[in-house]
Amino acid sequence: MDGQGFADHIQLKPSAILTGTAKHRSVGAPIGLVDIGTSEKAYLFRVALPGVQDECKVKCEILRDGRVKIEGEIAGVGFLRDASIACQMRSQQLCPPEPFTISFSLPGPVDPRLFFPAFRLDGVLEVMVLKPKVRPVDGSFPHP
Amino acid sequence: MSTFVATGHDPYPDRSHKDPDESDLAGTVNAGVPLDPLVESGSFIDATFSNGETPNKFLDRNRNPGKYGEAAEPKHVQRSSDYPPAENTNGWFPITEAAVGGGTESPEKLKLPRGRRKGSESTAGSASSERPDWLPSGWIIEDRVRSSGATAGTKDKYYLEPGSGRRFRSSKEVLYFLETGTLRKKRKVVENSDADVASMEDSGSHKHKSSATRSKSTTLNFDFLEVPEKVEWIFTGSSSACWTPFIGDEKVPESIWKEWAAAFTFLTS
Repeated sequence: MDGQGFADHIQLKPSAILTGTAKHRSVGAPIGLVDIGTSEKAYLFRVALPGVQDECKVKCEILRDGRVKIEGEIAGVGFLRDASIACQMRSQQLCPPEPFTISFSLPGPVDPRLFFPAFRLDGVLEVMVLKPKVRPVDGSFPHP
Repeated sequence: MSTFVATGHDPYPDRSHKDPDESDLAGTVNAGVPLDPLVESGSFIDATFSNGETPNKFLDRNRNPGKYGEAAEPKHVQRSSDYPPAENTNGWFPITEAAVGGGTESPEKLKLPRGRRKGSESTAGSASSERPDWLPSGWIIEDRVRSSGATAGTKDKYYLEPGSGRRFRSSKEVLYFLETGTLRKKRKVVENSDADVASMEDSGSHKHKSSATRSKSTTLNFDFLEVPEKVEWIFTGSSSACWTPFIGDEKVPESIWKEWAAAFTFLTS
């Protein structure tokens, strides 16, 4: 029976329906899943950061040798942020509002200045960071 | 582009006009030569008008009417139908003839003994070549036709850097130069024209350095050697510049990381 079928039978409806890739998720919070890609000039990494927003003090430390450390803090429940409502969580499958760090290494050295991040609305942080440039003889850098 | 210049006496009265690459050359140049603003196409100049004397530059043709006739391919002769060849020998000729045969020679070439000139001659400027997308504006495309040797008639395309006049043989060379600011390898000097002499001097350390610093100051101040050990990028919000770099505990000035961004864009575009 597929997800839509469950949804139609209200009494059989579970708390969450997972389809596709989410169905095969590993146990635990999805935060911190990392994909790493390489290309001729650059490395690309994408990190799952659901629940992370601009006030989460996200910091991405990137070292010349390719080590990356992402720090931050998961935001609490949005409704409760400014309200004085007390709410006790009955289940806690998402990451609790606590600090986190995600550390990993890229396959090789990088130039940490040549860092191009995009924090997508769906909570995936995508970063392209270039490998250090092979030195030209005199370091000149003409514009096209 | 070589334009016709009346240089007076033709130093090569014996030149064969049957040379295959010569006629090819004539066709190329003829297409590129602008029409005389004073004389309408299809009109003729009477070579015998002044004191009944033929101007110098046409003397040879009148002396060798046969060769002249061969060099003038019908497609280059305007109004050839109402223009019997017999009149040619009397010094009448279409104005477009100036671009055919001896007229195609650049003045420089005319001064040089033919046998010594091993290179090729430029026959077309940027106007006649199609511009490829990758070529930055300002660069000049030069088509050259080899005029001697076993490969005579072969067309070579060159790309000239504006300013320095540095000449590149291929898109690969140009793109490499644009990216690195250096020549791909020690280039063999094709011929000792001024442009090549300049590029040879440029590959010498002193002059090249000065040109490198000049191009850096006018474009990017990005030093690829000075890679910092660590940069922290802090996500500060959803505005356009929402990631701010820090080195140590100090915020990197915006002017600096704008340069980083420019370098990034340059390298990935």
